[in-house]
Amino acid sequence: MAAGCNDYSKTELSESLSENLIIFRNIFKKDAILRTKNISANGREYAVLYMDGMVNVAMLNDSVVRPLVMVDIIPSAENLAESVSKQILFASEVKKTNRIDDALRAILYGDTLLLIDGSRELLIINTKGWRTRGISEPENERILQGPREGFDEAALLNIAMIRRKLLTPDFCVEIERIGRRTDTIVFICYLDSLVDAKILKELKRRLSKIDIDGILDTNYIAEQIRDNRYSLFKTTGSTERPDIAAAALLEGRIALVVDGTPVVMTLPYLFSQNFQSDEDYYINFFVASVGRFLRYICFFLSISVPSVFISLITFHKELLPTTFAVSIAELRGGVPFSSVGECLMLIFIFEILRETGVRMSQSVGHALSIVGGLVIGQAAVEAKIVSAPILIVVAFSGISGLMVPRLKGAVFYLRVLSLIASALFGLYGYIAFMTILFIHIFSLSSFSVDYTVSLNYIKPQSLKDTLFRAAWFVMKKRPLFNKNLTRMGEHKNK
Amino acid sequence: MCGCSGYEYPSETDMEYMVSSLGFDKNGEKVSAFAEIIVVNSGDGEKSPEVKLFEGVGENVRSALYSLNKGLAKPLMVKHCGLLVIGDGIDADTLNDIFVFSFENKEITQAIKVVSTENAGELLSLKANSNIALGYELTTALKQNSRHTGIVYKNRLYEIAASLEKKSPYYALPVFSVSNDKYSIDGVKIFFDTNAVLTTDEKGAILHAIMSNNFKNGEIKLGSECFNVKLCSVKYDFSYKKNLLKTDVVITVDTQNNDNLLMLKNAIHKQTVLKTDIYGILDRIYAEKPELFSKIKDNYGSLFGLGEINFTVRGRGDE
Repeated sequence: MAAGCNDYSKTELSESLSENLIIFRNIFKKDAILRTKNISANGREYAVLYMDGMVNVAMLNDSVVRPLVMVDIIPSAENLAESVSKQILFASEVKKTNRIDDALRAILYGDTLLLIDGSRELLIINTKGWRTRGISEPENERILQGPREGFDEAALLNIAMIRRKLLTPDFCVEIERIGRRTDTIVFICYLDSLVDAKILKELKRRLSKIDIDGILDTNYIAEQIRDNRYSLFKTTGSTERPDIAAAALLEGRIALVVDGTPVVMTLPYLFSQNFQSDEDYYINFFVASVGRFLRYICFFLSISVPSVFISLITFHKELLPTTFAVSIAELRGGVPFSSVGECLMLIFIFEILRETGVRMSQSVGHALSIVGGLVIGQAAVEAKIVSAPILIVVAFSGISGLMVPRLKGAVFYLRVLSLIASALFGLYGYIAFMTILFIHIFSLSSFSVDYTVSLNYIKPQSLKDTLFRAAWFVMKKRPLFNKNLTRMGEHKNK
Repeated sequence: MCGCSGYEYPSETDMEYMVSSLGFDKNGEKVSAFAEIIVVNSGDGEKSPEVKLFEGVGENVRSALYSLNKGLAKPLMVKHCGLLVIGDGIDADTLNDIFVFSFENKEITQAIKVVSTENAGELLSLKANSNIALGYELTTALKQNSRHTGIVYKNRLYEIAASLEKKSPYYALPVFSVSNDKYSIDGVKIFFDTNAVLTTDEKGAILHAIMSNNFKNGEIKLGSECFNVKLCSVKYDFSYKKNLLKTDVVITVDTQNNDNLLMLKNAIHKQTVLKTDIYGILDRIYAEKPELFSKIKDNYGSLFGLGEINFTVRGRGDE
């Protein structure tokens, strides 16, 4: 059994309908979903092949079956397929092909095949009718103000949603197919006048190198094409919102829409984007700036607070105010674990609770948070299994980390590594760790664009959309890596 | 930072005894070391934290400290030690040992305050009224006294270390006395290097503060009166021929109260009978006339003792 459609690229169709039917029945001999309908009309034999559940049956009947039976036209024997397509069928999109692999791709994607006795070509009619989830707001990207649309699993629908926001012929869509068995369609979207041709070329090169069984989600591609594969920081973006994807395209980025998943990849992806919220641009810039700044602070605090606290209470007690040191000693007295062990344990418990809260249904999740809070917050402290100061520190660190959801994975690892560095070497270890972290972040790149390009230059243009979000009338230029920097003309006071 | 000078092993806060003050005294040949320790989780929730005084006795400072540590279940943590008490029985050599120990011990903060008292154990055994430990309360009392009298006490360990580096290594430690289970600050004890040379009362402490320029904002308080004091001039004249040093000090006091003026003059007169340069005049000579300093430095002590020192105290309106 062949793995993918490409394996049939050398198989040829014959003029005999029955032979062609045998070819397709052999290909799909273990597939109970393939449907075949034989039609005799005006002295010629036809066969309609489709996958049940993937076609719009009413459209199939109206555009293919009914015309074949009812239309009283004898197609020309010389260009049989062309003749049937133009003179008999009522369909809006009909293609002809003599390639089995093209035919397979089409039927597997919801199109209908029309085999004609006496022709080496078959017709592919667009009858796609698979059901989709429908447009709904993405769960993970909820906003208070702004558009509420979200992508779904149908790539064509997703492209349409983006296109509705970019009413310009400059919007380009290229197709790639990836996956030996899934033959997943991947749409590469960009604005031709804004995209960097080098980045586009590099992207296509990396996509062509992917050799995998199947692509079921954007992340399958992301992990294979991204720079710095082992870095905790992702160098490709993802979104389930068409407005965010459109905004990325307007900044000269490229969007990858993968069929079968609502997650769209955008690249290049910069460090500062981790701290952007989807609604930053839909609310007043003062309010947005506060949130943006807080996210930077919280990221830093989330990875630093536990490690600094542990280093102070184990190595550098002289830096603590005396009354605070006495309080810590009093509250930690009787706890059987070392402060480092206790901190690590609480970090893991927090992550377990957080993860469980995400996976559980809402009703159970509420009960779980109460149990988690009461049991750990109250009972464990009273039982002297954990101490209140470290519980507070870990809780604060965990909640701060939730302010930056795009870095939640990285924050967990960084928090633990920073804690280990502090546990071994105190503040010296913490400073060394942060130094290494900054060096690492500044050494990253995303498709040859510096990961921290907006922070490398202390220029108004680069800072306008990093630590804070400047007003729209001030953000006249695009991000620095673009070839076309001008976003808007001179602001005219009206 | 621990990485700068060797690795320091981590320790939990509840695995060490936190020392709030250290004290040293000498009785005959035996040196006593006292440590006021804050005990947390002592078993009684209402009393925690509790303060206890531990004593160790030895032939010298180090053996006394060793004896002190030996009797304890946990090691001492002196990073939060705020006070070092020197008893009157401590001689010059022992005081030198105490300073060497304090300077060399990386855990003892150089900002620790050093005070003097008659009996270190008696002082440290008092109960604190307004703080966790007596040591911290005494440092607060010093601050309060400084605010009240205007005297700036330069008695931190690093200030003493700086004084010891000077040409005229004088420094003053505030003196605490104990009476009826209460403490009070009664003047200063002046040291030359590690030798105690003079113990003054409160008025003498004020004069010393004026002369050594250790008073705040030109204001000092004597009893209930507040004086605006200004050190107008310190002039000295050395006669090479007669090998005689003469010093004239003029102080202006902003008061018209003759009684207070007289009180201050008497206090000054009392101090001028001393023949020890506790006022740092040699330091002034070193700073202003290095060539003179180099000539007289070797026999300055006797020169000052044989020389004249004239204090002039002027009241408001006096010319």
